[in-house]
Amino acid sequence: AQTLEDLPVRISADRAEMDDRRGVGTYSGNVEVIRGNLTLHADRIVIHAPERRPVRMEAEGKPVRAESPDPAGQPRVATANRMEYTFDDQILVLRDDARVQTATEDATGERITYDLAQDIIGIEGSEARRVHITILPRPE
Amino acid sequence: MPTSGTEPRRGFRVWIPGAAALALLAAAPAPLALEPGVQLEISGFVLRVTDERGEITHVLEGERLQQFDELGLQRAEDPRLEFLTDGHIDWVWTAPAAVHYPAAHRLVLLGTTEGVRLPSPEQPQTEITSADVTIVTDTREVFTDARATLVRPGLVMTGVGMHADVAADLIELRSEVETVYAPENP
Repeated sequence: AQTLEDLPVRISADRAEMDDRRGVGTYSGNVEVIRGNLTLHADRIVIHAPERRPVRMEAEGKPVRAESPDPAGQPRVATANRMEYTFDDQILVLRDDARVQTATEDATGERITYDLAQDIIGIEGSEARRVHITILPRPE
Repeated sequence: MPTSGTEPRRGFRVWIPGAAALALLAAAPAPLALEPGVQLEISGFVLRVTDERGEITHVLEGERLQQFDELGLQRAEDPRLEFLTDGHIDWVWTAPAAVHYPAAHRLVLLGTTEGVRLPSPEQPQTEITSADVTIVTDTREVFTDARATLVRPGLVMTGVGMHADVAADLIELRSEVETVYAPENP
């Protein structure tokens, strides 16, 4: 069976710049990233692959949108103007208008950390943007 | 007298005195005239270019080189361009044909073009396939408007329109970019 590390990362974009020495790839314009069941759309992303293997991705957009089903197969949608994703532990960090919608919750905050593998959400607020969580009735 | 299958066939040799042999060679049909506009033609050429310290920076070789003085260009068949750094070949570019503009340090590779960065301790082998690629030989920049595909262990990247600075290991793809990062040995 394909382990997490084996999953290829597929990126399509309008433009790309690769700095081979620093191991940094910058993709811009209608960027789509697919890795396993995670699909992310952004205006611009930067992939950090120091040992030629992607370890971290930074995404910018208005907003960036990430979709990935939860362990039960229910849809999860995360949006924010800035996102960071670490490939090895599948942690998504959302900043700037951060929001996560799952089958049972709708959460917003200043900064949201989403462990996609464990399906655990951590939300931080600020004076300007308090934490809001709406617990939705469980679908029949 | 026919020989049996086991016996080696009797050899048949003719000895031609040196001078006569040269005459025979000289008699080989030489082209009566070069193509119009061609002032110089070399069959089987190697062009070595050095920097101010006398170190070879790049080598252009090929089957045939024709020089068109009035146009300030050379046409090469089956060209092979090697970039060297500190005496080591780091990049090799090949194509079926090329037009060389020596004064402008520009080589235009025509048709399907292959670029290979040879593996080094720091970098694995990288291969670039494209077409109609212009190489600026002194700055080592590479341009094409065609699709270019880069393949390297763990990465396949393709796009239409490329600008690469091979000296600095920078590559830019201008549109229709598709990239796959895949584990080198899953």
